[in-house]
Amino acid sequence: MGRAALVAVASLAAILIQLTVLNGLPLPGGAAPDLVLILVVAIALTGGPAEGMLTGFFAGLALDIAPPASHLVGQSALVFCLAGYAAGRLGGSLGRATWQPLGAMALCTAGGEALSAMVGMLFGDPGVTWSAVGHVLPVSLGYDLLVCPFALYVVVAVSGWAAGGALARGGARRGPARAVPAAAGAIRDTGTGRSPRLRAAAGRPGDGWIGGAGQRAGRAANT
Amino acid sequence: MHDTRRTRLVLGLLLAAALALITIDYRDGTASPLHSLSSFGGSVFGSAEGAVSLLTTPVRQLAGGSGSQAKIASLQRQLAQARAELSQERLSRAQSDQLDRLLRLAGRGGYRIVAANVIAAGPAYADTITIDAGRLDGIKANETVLNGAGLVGTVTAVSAATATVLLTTDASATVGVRLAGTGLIGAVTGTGKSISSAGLLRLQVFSGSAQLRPGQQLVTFGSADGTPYVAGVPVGVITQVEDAGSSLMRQALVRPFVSVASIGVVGVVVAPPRTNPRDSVLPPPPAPASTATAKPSSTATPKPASTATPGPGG
Repeated sequence: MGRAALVAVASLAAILIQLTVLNGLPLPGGAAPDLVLILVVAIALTGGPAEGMLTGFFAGLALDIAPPASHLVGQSALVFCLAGYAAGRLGGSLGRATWQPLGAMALCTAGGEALSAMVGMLFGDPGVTWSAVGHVLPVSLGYDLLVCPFALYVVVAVSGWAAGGALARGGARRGPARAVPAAAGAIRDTGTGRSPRLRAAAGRPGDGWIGGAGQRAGRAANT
Repeated sequence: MHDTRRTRLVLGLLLAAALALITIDYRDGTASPLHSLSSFGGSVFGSAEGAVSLLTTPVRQLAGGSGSQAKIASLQRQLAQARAELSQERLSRAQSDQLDRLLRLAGRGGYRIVAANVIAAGPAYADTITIDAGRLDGIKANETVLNGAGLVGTVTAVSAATATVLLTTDASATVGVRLAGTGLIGAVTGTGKSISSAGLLRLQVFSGSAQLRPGQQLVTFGSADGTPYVAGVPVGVITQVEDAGSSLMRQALVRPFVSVASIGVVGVVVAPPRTNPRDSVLPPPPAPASTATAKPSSTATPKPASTATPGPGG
């Protein structure tokens, strides 16, 4: 419940930052990172395919109807929904190495950007031509890859913090059974300190997880 | 629930919904239920953008003071200057400078304008902006938008407190123009991101005998009733004449007077001038020549909410 609200708030913030700051920045190359797509992919990697595609659909729809969008309503919803689903699927089959979630994230973001250009071209958007895509796509991909690690770090840290808070509240009342739904994601904060370490989760929910979360829950209960 | 049948069912439903939305929007743009969805999004996100831009406008203004052509030295000088004078006061002074130039241009042409601030910008493939004035400020769709340097674009969508502006550099924007000092008529189309030097326009003059040369200035030809473009607004300067490969048409690249990166304060023309201002609004050419004396800018009606007032302590 808390996570859904967090996801909604984060998506809204990403959309507003994208529209009011990033799109207007005169960055070299004439393109900007797609913060909303990056956030959707990061949320999908930590939360699974269902959460990813729902977040993607609604964040994309919001981006479609928020001014000054001039493309067709539904384009971003379609692309982000698919990107979120793909990232969620990919996140479920990751190994334990740190580079794997980052690689998956880069792959899904790149796929989303390319798909977005393809959909624009398919529906006859006059701004999306082969030469325009040739100029914009590499540059925006470059900016995306720069932003990806930081976005994943923040999403993992915040979702670890939120899950810890849920554990602290739920654990007091019903015991650790409530932790399992929160731990259904693929990538978790496995670190016990403040800085999260990006690592793919173990196969079964709860492996290498309850211990760290328990400590956090204890800390949260103390404060 | 990693990937159950239910997840796939929901995915299918969402994709179908997205495709249905695209189809409805593609078939009948403004006459569909989607129009109310879009205007709902316009009011909700428009007001949110307006609120957020109070915080983020300084960021964009510091970053967007100059065009991409600026040299490193001048950037460093600007950086030093920005560091020295990094305050809300300086930012609002920059805005009031822009507003001042805008009012002078509007006064020269006799355009009755509503001034507004830029609060958001569109994605990479589209050159669109959101401004913080809308239906409540008397703005309607298809009105011309200009700033102190010249033509910015035209209003495409209006919500209660915000409006969406299609810039002339967008690939879907076409403006009828006249070569200053001549009667030659043509059309400029935005190039979007399709050529490497961004922000240029392509001019097509439908006359095989027309003599185009770099340095010639363009003003808007003007549409019937002044929508979507009023007459006489400076558009740009021809930078390069192209070989159109046709004897019926001449083609050239045009650098617009307005640089997309530095648009801050704009004016929406709510009433066109009674007489066509012809070339009187153009900036003075490099060779010394007198321009028309500026009329008092009382015809302009700046929006009280815009930041013409100096900052606190300024």
